Amino acid sequence: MYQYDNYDQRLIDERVAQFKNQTHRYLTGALSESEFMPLRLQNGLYIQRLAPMLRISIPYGMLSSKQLRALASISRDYDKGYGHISTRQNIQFNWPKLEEVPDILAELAKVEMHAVQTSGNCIRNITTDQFANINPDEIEDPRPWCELIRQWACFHPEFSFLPRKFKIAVSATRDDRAAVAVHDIGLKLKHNNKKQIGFEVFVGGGLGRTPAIGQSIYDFVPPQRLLGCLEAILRVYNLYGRRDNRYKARIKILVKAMGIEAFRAEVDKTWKAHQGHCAELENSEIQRVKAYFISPEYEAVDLTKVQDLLKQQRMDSSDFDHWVRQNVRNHKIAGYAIVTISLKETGEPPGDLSDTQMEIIADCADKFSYGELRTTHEQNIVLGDVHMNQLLEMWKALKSARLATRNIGTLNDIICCPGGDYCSLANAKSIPVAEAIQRRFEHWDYLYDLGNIDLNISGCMNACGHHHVGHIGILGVDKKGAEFYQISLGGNAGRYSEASLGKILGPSFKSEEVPNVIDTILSVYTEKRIDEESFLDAYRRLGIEDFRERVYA
Amino acid sequence: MPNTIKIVDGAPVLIADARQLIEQDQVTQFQDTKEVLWPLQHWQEQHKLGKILSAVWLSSDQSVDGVSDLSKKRAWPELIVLRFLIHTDGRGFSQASTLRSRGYSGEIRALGAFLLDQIYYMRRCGFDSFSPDFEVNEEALDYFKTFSLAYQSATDDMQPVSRRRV
Repeated sequence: MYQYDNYDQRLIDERVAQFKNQTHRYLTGALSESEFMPLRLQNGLYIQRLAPMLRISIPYGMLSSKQLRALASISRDYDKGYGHISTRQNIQFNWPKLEEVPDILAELAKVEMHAVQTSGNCIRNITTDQFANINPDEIEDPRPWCELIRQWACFHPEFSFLPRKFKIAVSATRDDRAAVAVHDIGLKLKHNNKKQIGFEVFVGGGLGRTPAIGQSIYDFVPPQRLLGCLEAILRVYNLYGRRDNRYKARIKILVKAMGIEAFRAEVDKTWKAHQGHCAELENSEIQRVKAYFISPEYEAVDLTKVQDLLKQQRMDSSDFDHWVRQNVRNHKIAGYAIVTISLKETGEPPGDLSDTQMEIIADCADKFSYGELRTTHEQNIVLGDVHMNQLLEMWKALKSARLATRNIGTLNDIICCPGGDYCSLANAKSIPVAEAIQRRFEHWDYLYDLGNIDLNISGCMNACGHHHVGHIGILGVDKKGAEFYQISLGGNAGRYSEASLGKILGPSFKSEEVPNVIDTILSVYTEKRIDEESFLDAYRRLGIEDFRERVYA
Repeated sequence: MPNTIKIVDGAPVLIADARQLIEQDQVTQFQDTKEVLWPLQHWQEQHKLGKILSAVWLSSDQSVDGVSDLSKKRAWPELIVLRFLIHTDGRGFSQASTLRSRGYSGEIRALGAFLLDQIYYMRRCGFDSFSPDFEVNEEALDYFKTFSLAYQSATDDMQPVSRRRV
């Protein structure tokens, strides 16, 4: 992963000093609330319902074990001993004291971490596929590109006071695990017919109040021109994005209003006008950054021996067997495996992990996965380079820390925002709904029989839980002061060509009714499915009426 | 009383600029005086009559094309003021950047509601003077020193970090 040199380090040290000064001025009254707001947001600091919330950046999901231990330590010293993985691969602390945040940032800077631009009307964390560089089916590693874009975006002088937030994601496979289709800018790595690498650029995707699938603005942009392209798009957005209405201020609104053709023409014009002044991505810099993302020194593997051993181990323990089937997947190197650690234990808020759990994962990363780990937008953690003969030992270590919940990809692997328990924007609580559903579907055999289902829960229209792209989506709404939940079906964040937004089932439900509703929906599925078809495929074949009829009978 | 920070020969200094920003409906009151910042519409009208007024201001929603289209044919103003009504409106940053990319080498000034915390970025975007809506003193000049490096190239001369490493 990327290592800071003294230039990178100096920049974040200067940022820490800047924020320390800004916090001091705010606390002494020299900066008003409204003046401090964009400054603190651009350092990830929200003022929330119960306490400030600090969102720390995990650039494209990559963390070292050392960094994770630092996060554990910070959670103990400055917070309540846990953190929350967000749907943009960042980590959030829910209880820091405002006056201590500069100290937290100073601690983070020691391990090459920061909270730069994780909030505010600026360019946010660049996110990508949690299986970057280890997936068998990848065009090329997206992470160096994420790092190059991250640096370009970091403290960008022109784009720090945009109409609204701006999110960029990069994907390098056909399966879009980065939800590129629903980002302000989505970048798909591809080859042209000369086998040269480049990017297809999508613009105007997003969730929230007015969800939209991104549209292709450029079919192929070569790497040298990528930053100039991004600048041109951002410049057009900065100048023409709406500023009169916060809910109509994202780029998706501008693209829709102008139409993609007119939008492209404006970007072309801007791009051309700034030629010679805009950022060129130089080959030397590309190579320098790529050099940080080399694969580890994999050991030689006696494949047959390792496979036989694993087979035996799986036969000896059905618990381990299920875990391997659900949480472990093939690595591009035969004999290695990709492990997804589930942070979705029933009864725990989805995506949360304690300081102890962070330490155990850090230990596992050191022992089994070359000291590195990845956060996922589904709010789990991946150890990406595990030798198959170490899976059992690792599983035992994880199990002792309640990190071996074998529910990855199932209904109970829920994406869920912090919701009304924590967030001042929420209309309803989300965490209790997630728990109630997980308890209803506790029976492993039935859970597994349901197969792969993306269940996503958001506590409000801001859609931080990505409910629009859940196969089953749940949205908390406020109905005459009470908490109600609206169900949608058929959303999908998956393959780009198959990305879809969920369709609303009907009138909303009270909290206590939701598990029954989900149960009913899934009964329709299990009754009507053909062969091994997934829930999503069955829904797409059947349509919404069968489900609607039964739920509202 | 100094009300403006200006970059002179590469270094920031405090100056007092008495020129007033006037709206289109005030134009007739101020004819034949050099002591004002003219609104875009009036500046354009005078330009078409062959008179290049030295100072013009734009609001955030006005395109810099309004100045650059005419200037290409004859002459640029000496000073272009970009007015900020609220510190969260970042359009001025792109307006300045665009003016520089069009070849404008005169003075670009930020005027109105912005924070000292923003002037570092503004300078990188091509602004070289700053008239906030509060009093300025020597402490304000320190804000240009916030960062000693930059990752990305902008309109200023700062070499991006990537070029320093080569």
